[in-house]
Amino acid sequence: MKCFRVDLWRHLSAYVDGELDRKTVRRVEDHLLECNACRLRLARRRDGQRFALQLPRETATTDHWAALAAALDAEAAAPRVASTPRRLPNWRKLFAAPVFASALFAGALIVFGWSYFINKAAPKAPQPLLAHSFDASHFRPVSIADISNNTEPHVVAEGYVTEVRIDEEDGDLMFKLVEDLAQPRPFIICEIVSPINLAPPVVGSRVKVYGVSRYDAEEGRHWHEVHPVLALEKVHD
Amino acid sequence: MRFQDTQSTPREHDLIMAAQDGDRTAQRSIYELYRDRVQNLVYYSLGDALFAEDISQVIFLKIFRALPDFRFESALATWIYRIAINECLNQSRRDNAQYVPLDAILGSVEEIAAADWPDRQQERQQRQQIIQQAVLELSPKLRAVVVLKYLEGLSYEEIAAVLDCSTGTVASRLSRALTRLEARLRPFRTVL
Repeated sequence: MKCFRVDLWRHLSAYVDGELDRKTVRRVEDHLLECNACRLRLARRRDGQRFALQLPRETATTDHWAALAAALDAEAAAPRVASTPRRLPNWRKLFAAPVFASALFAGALIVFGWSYFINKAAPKAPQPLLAHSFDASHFRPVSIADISNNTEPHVVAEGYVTEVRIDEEDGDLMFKLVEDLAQPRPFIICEIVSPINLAPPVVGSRVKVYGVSRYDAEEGRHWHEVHPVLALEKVHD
Repeated sequence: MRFQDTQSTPREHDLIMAAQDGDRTAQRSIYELYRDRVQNLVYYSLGDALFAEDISQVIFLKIFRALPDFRFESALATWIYRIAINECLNQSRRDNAQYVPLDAILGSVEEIAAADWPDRQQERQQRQQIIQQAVLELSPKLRAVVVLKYLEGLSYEEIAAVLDCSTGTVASRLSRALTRLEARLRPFRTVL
């Protein structure tokens, strides 16, 4: 016989987990006494719970504290700037607005221009955020043309920066890396993900990019990525 | 060990206060206390152990940056889980992760039932692998409630605080998750 007590079905998981108040437990149990369909439902929820309780724990294999402490020390040493304003809940819609997108683009140009000016005015050694923590030998060197054959998660790729822009979807900073400035292909896309605040590379410069190798299979993309970029190193030709 | 109590103990309260003042030893203690919990949550949210390690680092950077603003309005665990879950949901939205069907990895029901499992440890690992894969096939929202409830041991109320939703929503998601897990693993019921 079919049961239409939907109001009680939704309590069955909470009943199995012991999360119901006494009054609702009584209602559920009274119904279970007379409803075979719900007893079957309950048995299935119990099986589901039994499976879920066997889920193995995953533990971190590496202690990243040294990397975190280095990053926090670097931040503490840096001059304090105004705190970032809170994101509006519907910021994605705002990004879609043409006026906002134009303003964002203009802002990005100013930031990049300023960054370029600073870099030119006071050239200094690259300071990757996690430089103190990672061992460069853990990153497999790959050429841009051969990255599709790579199976290692952590890679280092070297090439010329041809484009720097902000991802319209998530606001992350992306840049394109090519082997030859005169050839648009092959290329890989590199993404600097917040809060890894690396300075954007200058277009035309040659850099080494350390990070996680991935393939973006999203429609309209289908390209290899280093994402997130964990460190950047300028290479002098 | 399952996590039961999300209220800040006096010791944890002192630890947080010290960490808020920039005490690296206190920050390290918090990192060690939550490292595996965050890793666990991130792994089951994203389904990729290596990527999970990278994202966990990003999450801890966010945690320590925001810690001075922590006002003890919720338990530290709830606050940390909330940051971790939000980061994972952001990643999931961007990645459009694709999952390989369970049968493709583990073989058919008959193959599994007929396979020789030489010792108990291997048998247990096989069972866990089957369940793990089935959980990874759930949607990110359902995975999150399963991990918070059955691995981290949070109550419905605590999960609701982490996910910023009602306990009714938690109950509804857990109900759907358990129903789907049971349906997915029903063929393996005799070996699990």
